[in-house]
Amino acid sequence: MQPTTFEIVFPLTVLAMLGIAVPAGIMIANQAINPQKKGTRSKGEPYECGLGQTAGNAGERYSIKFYLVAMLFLVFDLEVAFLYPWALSFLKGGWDLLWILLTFLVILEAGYMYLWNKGAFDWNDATEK
Amino acid sequence: MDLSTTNFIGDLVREYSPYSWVASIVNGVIAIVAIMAVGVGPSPMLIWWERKVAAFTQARLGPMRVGPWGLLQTVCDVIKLLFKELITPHGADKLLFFLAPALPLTGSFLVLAVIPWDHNLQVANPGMGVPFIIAVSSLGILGTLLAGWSSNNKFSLLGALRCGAQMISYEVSLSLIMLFVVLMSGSADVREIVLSQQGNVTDWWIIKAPFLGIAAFVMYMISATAELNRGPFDMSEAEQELTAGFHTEYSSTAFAMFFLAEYINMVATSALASVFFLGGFLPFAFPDFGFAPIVGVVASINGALAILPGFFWMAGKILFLITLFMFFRWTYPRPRVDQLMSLEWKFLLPANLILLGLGAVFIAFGLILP
Repeated sequence: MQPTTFEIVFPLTVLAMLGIAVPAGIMIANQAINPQKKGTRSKGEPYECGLGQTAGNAGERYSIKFYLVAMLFLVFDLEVAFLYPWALSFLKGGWDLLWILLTFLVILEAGYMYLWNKGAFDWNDATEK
Repeated sequence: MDLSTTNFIGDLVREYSPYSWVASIVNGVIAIVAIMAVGVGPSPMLIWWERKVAAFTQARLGPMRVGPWGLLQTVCDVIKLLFKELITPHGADKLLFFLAPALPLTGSFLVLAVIPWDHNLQVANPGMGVPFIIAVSSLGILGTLLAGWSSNNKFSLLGALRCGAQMISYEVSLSLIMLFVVLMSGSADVREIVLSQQGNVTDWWIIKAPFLGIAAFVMYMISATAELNRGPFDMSEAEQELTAGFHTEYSSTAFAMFFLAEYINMVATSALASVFFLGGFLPFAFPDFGFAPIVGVVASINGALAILPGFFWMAGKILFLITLFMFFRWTYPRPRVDQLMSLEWKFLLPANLILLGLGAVFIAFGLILP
């Protein structure tokens, strides 16, 4: 029997709420059993071996090399999303779909080689080039 | 014994209740309880198993004191963590700090929900199961990023950023490998993928797709290890460089949530690997290659193996894969961050694209029979 939309959405919603409720419940129970005590000032200091006093706090600006990775991720993940309808119909399709894929992959690989040439995948000096 | 009781009770309610939604709710609740039992329940046992595997790898005995062979050690650890104090560091963003441990757990619960554990044991079956899995598993990344950012600790922030970069990179190759399996089986429905491997061992995708299947499986295991942030790819918590990475500031139960999520994620990832490549809940069956003298013997052995319900086969395959993950962790040294990123962007990604193209060519030439 085909499941109704309700039968799919209801358990998933309950599970998503459980995923929030279980940790919340356990942490509240923990608080109840053992309430937080005031302690000295150094108790709440970040655990970073004294760096906290000398190197400013963690809210300051960082230069993030990971930005480029996120862009690349977007490009390639979108491409995977594009390929899903194609993959689902391939067994019913035939040669036409094969040519479509190979054309797509060639264009993609060309862009990929360009990125590689530009040094987008070199982790160490991605920002210098 | 058949563990497919969810359907049985649901049908019973459906028969006696005038409203169909009552049956839907009862069915859903029973399935959720079952998933909690099979997905979350074994986690303490897995922690014990990991410590034993680590110990035997290093020629030690591991936990031996509490209970027989130290079986109750994890229970004691959980109780100890519950009685520890929950410390909030100065300058932490309180809301996000305590929201962060919940997100990875939510993501792994939702992945567990769409995995078919047996013929009738699956919480929900959205028709497009594979894209759903890719979507919800990104919640784990959000959790680690939030944890690192909100705890006002430079090591946490660095660990979280590394972790985010690593996980989104490896998600690309994971989704490409899943796409490969979708291409082979012609369906994005997780249950359909399992059922497309019916038959004997040679019908599992790892063998049925000649050479490509085993290559895809190996690459899946590598990417999954990186995605799980487990050793040797645990850059986000490399303790020599970053104290403990993104969860440095977490204590007591908040830390336990991250720990729990790691193990549940491991169960979910291994379950997916077994669904995609190792036939999921289908029993192990020897091939007979149409060789007349052994057909009868093989058929009777296969019949005996098929008596065990699918759930046990699934659990066995998951345990095997988890043990493999543990061997990885305790055997290989940790690579550098840039080596890890190069492995993904310069090797796994092009290899996956070629794999996809080859898969399509193989199907077009009839080398892989659907």
